[in-house]
Amino acid sequence: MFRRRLSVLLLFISLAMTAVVGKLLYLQVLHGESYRRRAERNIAYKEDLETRRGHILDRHGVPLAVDELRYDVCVFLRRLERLEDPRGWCEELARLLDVKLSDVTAALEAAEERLRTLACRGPRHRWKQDLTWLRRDEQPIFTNLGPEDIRNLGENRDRLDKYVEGGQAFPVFKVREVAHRRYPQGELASHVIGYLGLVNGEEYNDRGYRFSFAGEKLKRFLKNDPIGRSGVEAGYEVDLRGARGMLFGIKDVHNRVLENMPGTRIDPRPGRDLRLTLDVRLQHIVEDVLDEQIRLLTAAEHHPGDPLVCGAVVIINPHTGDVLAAASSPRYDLNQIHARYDQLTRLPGNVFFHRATLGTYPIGSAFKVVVATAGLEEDIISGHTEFDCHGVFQDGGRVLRCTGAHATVELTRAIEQSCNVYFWNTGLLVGGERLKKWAQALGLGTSAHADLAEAVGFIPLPVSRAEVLNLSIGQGRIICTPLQVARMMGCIALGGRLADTRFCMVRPVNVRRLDMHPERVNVIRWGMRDVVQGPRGTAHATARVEGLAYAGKTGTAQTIRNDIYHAWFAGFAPWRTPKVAFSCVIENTRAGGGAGAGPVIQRVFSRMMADPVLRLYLAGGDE
Amino acid sequence: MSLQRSTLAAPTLRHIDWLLFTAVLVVCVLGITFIWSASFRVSQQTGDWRATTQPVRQVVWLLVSLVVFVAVLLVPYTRLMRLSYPLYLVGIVLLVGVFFHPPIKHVHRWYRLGGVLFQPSEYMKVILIMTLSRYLMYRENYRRLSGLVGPFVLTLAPLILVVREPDLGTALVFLPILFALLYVAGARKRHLLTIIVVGLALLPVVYYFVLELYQQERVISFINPAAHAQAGGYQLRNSLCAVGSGGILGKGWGAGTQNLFGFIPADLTDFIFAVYAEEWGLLGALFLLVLYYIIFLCGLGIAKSTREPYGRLLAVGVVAMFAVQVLINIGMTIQLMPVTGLPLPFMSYGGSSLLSSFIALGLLINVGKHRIPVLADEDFK
Repeated sequence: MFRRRLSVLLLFISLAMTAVVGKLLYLQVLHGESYRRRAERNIAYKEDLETRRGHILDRHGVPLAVDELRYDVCVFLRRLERLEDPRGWCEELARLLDVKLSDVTAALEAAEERLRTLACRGPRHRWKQDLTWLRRDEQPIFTNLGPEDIRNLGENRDRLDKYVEGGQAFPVFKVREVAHRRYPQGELASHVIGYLGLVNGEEYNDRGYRFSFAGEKLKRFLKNDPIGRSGVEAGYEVDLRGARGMLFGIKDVHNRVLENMPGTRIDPRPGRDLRLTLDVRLQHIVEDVLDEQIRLLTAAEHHPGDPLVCGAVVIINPHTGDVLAAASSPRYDLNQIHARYDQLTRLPGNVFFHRATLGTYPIGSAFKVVVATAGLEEDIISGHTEFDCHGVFQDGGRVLRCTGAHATVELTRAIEQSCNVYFWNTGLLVGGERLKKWAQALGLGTSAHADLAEAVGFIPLPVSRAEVLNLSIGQGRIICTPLQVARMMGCIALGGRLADTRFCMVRPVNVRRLDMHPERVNVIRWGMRDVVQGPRGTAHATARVEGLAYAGKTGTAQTIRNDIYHAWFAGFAPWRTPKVAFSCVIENTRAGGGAGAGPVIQRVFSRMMADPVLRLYLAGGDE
Repeated sequence: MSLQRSTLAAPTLRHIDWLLFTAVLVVCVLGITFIWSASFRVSQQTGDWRATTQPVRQVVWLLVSLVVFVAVLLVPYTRLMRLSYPLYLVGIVLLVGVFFHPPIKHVHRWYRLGGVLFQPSEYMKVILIMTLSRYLMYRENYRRLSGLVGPFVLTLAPLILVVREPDLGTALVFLPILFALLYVAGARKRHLLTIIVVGLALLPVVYYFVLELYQQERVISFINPAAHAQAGGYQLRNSLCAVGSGGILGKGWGAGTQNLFGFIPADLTDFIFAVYAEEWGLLGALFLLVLYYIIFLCGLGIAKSTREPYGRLLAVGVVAMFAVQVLINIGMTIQLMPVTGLPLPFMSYGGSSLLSSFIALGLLINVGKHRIPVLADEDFK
């Protein structure tokens, strides 16, 4: 029996050994490759190297948004507590950073508390283990320091004790570079530049930004990375976003890089600097003047309960489509956006709304330029066509009123004095379909092809006679953006050259030609000249600039309130050799186009003429 | 039981099982080689030669063990048999006494004697084998259920003490030794089955009332290592990764990345097999397993050729002890068993383990060397 049972025991041991061999085959042969890869991953150290976002500059290179390196001082809590003299270390750190010891201890306490909260979010029974785990990594205790704040620390870093383990010394603190966006010009062109937000879950997970961005792995987003949310920051994210660098090395189980082991490094590649077409000096003047005018109008005529007076000004170069200035009021300070975001959102008038490209308004009499173009180009009227204006227009049973009794007017006079009767007649002759066609051909109610978020606007197709009449003077359902109007004026100025607008110099210039007869356009250009220069012009009193002959057209668009209008003034300058096209809209004002928007352009051009450099934009304007 | 002395029983070198001894020595050399590899990383980085003391210390322990081994060999085991019960008492006293010793690494497992740690539970395993063999050599003791109470009491007393140290790993070895001895000695299968069923029924009770929290977590992490990556499963995952990444040929001695960069937990002691299997791969592991199998076969061969009841039970007990330790240790490294702290005999770093293993080996070879002619049951069938 003993021998039999001995054999059974041997069998038992043999079976167990076989099981061991089987499992070894399973691990080492069947899954050997996957375990080998996992082992390689275990020792692979990867660190992302901080990069910076591209700067945003104006057309002459003046910085508008720059990424500065700021510094976070981080501490390895686990190493700190194992020092022989942690308190002495803290005192030394406080001395080097020029802060009080109590600040250091408070910051350490806060970091500790933060980790504790984090650890408690995990499974309850092992929060202590998790805390130990978390405390291995560096924790920021002082953030957003400038280079001057940490200079002492950098020079004297050897004076701080190091944590020694296994004969190797490891630093207790680490200075982390953090890119920080700064806007040297504050409020200037805030809408065009746009603000940054944090990448959200939808982008991070669903759209896969965490793996790559714009086809580049190194541009991938990490959690809490900034991403452009408006303006060119959003539109040119692909260019502006920098590619992070990578550091590959070999690490041990404590996540420490072993410096005597081979490694590779990919240097970070900063984002591309972006030059805008804006001219800071011009933009500055435009914003200044616009704000001043809005202030004046608000002070003069604003009653309680009235909607807020807002406005926008666009100045473009019609030859290239470059937007030289795009102002929108109200505005916000980009430097304060994150600190004051809630406050800013609660301000009236939506400060984040870029009225120059996104605001859509009925354009009023400024549309008469389109009606005139349509009439002339369709051979329905000529420069000599005359209509009688008695101050009223009989349309069936309705009586429509003109801006005044203009007697017998031809086209130039009609534009100069903004005679409704003339354009009602012309509009009826042209017909709704062709009005709409020409409005869209001139860029109204269609995209201005800007490289910035823009509204398209809308040109209705008038079907009834009443609707045609309404559209002929730019009222009704028609809505356009100031950018479109400026572009349209640029097209008139150049006799049919319609340039795609652009805010960034990287975008290629694209100009399309409309089939317009130069002589016919000239009639309109003369009319628009007289709006400013002619003694009876609607903007003569408010917009004339000494030493500059330029052309414009006013517009006073009705709103739902009878006593409140949107005041328009748009045109080009200089009249003879157009170099800029402009549009200005003042929202919710009691003044008409000439009085509301005219002074803005008048003051802008006056100040440009006074400026030796900006004067060049208007060169050739003397008459 | 009449012991007839014979000239044939005179000890000679020829009667030593040289194959067994050689296998053990090869395992020891492998052990030292890989203790060196496992301690290598530290020395390489710091240039501190003291960091490589472990292989040197192990060599010293091996020499000490060999001396003790020879000493055990010189005395016929029948004389040592008489020491069984007194040694058992000494062992129990030492196990109780360890609770009054200041804890080392938070556990009551060692005595500190000079610069050396002394772990009584390691020696208790050998003493238990001697004691149980002494008790079970008489037929009336193992054929009756009431007679089985004795061995159980003898086993459970040290077992409970060791579990309370706490040292679950060492305690785990006691029960298989008991069952192997009971079975081979000739206990009725009915009795053994009853005991096993009762034991299994008691398992939940043991799990909830005897095991410490970390021990419970280890059991859970054995069942599902991924879910407890940061707790007990962390050791297991890294050990599996080390063994698996070794592949068929291994990464070469001193070149295992899991080993070099510290990913193998307790790499000198409990997880030495992971270091070995990573660097020498499947072929190396099979070589080691063959060596251990030779040890078991030789041990059982000695038991088989021995008629004298105490000696053959002693041999079976020693083989059972080695087998259980090897299988549990390697088993936990490759996730066939829950993780318990248990050294790999002759391989792991540690003086107590090596010395006690060599004492056990001494007893085993002693049995094979001192042939005592006995008339046994089988001769009359």
